[in-house]
Parts: sequence; C-alpha cells; structure tokens
Amino acid sequence: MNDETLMLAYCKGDAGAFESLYSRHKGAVYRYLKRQCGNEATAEELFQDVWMKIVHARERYQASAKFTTWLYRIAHNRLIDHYRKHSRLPVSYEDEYIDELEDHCPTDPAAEVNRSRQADKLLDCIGQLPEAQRESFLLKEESGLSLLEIAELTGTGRETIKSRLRYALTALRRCLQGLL
Amino acid sequence: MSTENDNLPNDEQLSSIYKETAQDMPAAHVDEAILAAARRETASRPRPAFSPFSGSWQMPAAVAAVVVISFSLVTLMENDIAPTDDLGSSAFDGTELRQPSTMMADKGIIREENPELVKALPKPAMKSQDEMSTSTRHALSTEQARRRAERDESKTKEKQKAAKIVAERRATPQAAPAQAPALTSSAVPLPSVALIRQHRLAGNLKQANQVADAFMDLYFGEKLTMADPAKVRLPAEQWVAFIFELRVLDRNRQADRLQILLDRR
Repeated sequence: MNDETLMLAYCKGDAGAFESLYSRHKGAVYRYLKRQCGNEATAEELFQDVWMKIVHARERYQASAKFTTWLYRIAHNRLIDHYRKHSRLPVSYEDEYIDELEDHCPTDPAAEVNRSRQADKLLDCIGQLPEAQRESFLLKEESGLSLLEIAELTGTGRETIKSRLRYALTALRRCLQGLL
Repeated sequence: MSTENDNLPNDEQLSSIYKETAQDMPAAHVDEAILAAARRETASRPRPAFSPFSGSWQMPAAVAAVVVISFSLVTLMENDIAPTDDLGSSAFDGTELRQPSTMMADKGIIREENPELVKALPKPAMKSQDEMSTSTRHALSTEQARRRAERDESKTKEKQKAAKIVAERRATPQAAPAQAPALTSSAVPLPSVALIRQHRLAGNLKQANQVADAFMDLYFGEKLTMADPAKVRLPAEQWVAFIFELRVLDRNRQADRLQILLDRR
C-alpha cells in the first residue's frame, strides 16, 4: 500500500495505517532534522512536532499531493521556525558557498580503510556545510524526492537546488580527501 | 525515482558512505508518544477523508455558475433589445396586453351572452367603460388593425426601397466616387439627414456613415437601447428619414432599433 493510501486510511480512522506510515518514514525524517539542527534533544522535539502536525492536519491532506513532499515540507517549515525562534536564521541560505570545510576529525592513517571512520568523517563534514546545502544533500539522500519536489517543498528554484547540491558534493569530497 | 532525479548532481561513493550512517532512529519513548497521540486522535474524532466542502469540485462549480449566470444575463439583455416586430407593434398597440378597457369589453360580451352570470360578477369601478358598446369595441379593434397594417406596409416599402438602393450601389461600386462633390472634412457642419444623404449620393459612404454616427450620438446617445423615445428631440419625419438612410447604408440593426423606439413614441 502506498503512502497516500495509508494516509487516506488514517484520515478515515485507521490508526494502524498511521503506524505503517510512521515506521516507514520516521528514520529518514529524524536524521534529516538531527543533522540539520545538530542536536539530538532538539531534533527529537522537532520530530515530535512534525508528526503531531501530520496527525492534527490530516483532514487537510489531499490524495493529489504526494505524502512525502507534504511530510518534508512540514519538517522544513518546522526547522525554519526553529531557526527563527532561536535567532539563528540560517545565514548560509544567503551566503552558501564556502571554499573549505575544516577538518574536525583528522584522519588516522591506520584506519583509512575503515568504512565506519569514513562515515563518521562524512557526518562531521555534513555538519559543517551551510544549512541550505546541507538540507539539499540530506533531502536528496533521505527523502528520495526528485529535484523538482525538493525545490517545491523548500520554496526555491530547481536550478538553485541543483547548484546547492553540486557545491555540497564538491565540499564533502574535498573534506573527505584522503579517506576516499 | 523520477526522471527529475536523473538530473540531480550525484556522487555514488558519498551516497554509499552516507547510507552507512543511516542508523539513527528516534528514541522509543518518542515513538510511543507519537503513536499514542495518533491513536487518541482517531478514537476521539473520526473525520472523513474528504469533506464535501474541501473537494476539488468547488472551483469548477463556481466557474460553471458564473458562466450560466452571465449567459442568462446576456440572453435576457439580447431579448430586451432584439429588433423584433412583436416588440415594435403588438406589445404597444394594446392587443396583447390585457388593458382595463379590454377587460371591461370582455365583461360586456359575457353580459350579452349570459346575463345571469353578470349578476354574480363584482360591479366595475368605471361605469362608462363598462357600458362600452359592442360596435365601439369592433370599431376600435378595426382601427387598430388598420393602423398596424398601414405601419407594416410602410415598413415593408421602406425596406424594399432601401434594399433596392443598396443593390444598385453594390452593382456599380466604381461609378459613385467619380461623381462625388468636393465635401471637405475641414468644414464640420451639424450632422443632419440631408448631409448623410448628400454624402451617400456622392458615393462617400465612409463620410455618410460618420455623419450618421454623429447624428446618432446627437439625438439618441450612445446607448440606443436605453434611450427614452419621449426625450428624443427629433421630428418624426426626420426620424423616419434617418431610419431610411440607415437602411440604405446597410445598418439595418440600428434602423430596426430606431423603428422600435419610434413606434414606442
């Protein structure tokens, strides 16, 4: 059963449909929020807010809209609210492009082949990306949405998202130099 | 994955490393809280998936309603201004409308045919009309019929004459301009039927039409259909002559409207 059908079933009162939907998307949404805000406790709070919003706004859901797009739009908006509330509006949404990411995790030559080490380093590098680039990268990796859908839910142009992704990948590659 | 994703900048190596990190999950207590809230919500307030007022039918329905209303209004307006003989003659000659005098006359007929029934009828307010004789009624209706016939005959003649002139003009389109007198546009005389005729006879149809427009504006205003015939300060002969000129200029619709107005006056 696809996401949209499950959501419609939940709208009709089928709590089991919501459980299926939740288990299908909870990990990706949680990681998106956690890596965007960089704090586990805050991520949990935002995560809970996002799903509660889904629960309460279910009557506004229309099957014509893709569930994933709707879900990530809510998550994105919640994140922006969080930035605003804490006067930490992502400056990087304007000043996106940085040349070098700092090497917070100096590579241990002896463990260069270790995949988990690469993964840790990648997460560290992702954390250093400007918010907008990081968001584009995370949405691409976690949500499986198309370029157009990502552009739509973040309220930006398709070319902008493409450009952010390109910058993000270049920066991450440079950051992981020596480990790849 | 849609085709749009094909255009996404991609790095397979980075993606595969990232996937190894995709183990983070929300804590169990968060899961519990969310699922409990979702269950509570469905238990307390089951809602329909679609509200009848939130569907996508609203916009098409609104558009359809606007179209239907607009069409009805336009049709009604067209009927109001349609140049029909019904509007010009029967609606105003009193034969279709049940005027008080006609109703009284009907009662006269009843009285003659069935005097018993007349006693049961309420007494009329206007005694003189009630007592109108049958011969008077006949005379009136005969007079009305004669007038209508005369008017119809005159209209037909007028239309035939105009059609004849139009046909002649179409048959010899080149000849007329050569005979045109030097009517300069710099001198702007008051629009008159005579001037229209003068231009027309000279073959200056464009100028004839312009003068006709000016004449129309001067005496009837822009909204001809809204004009009050009683307020048009134009002698009937001029009016008739103007209608004739309009017909010759092939402006039959305007001519018909003016004819209706004239009948109403």
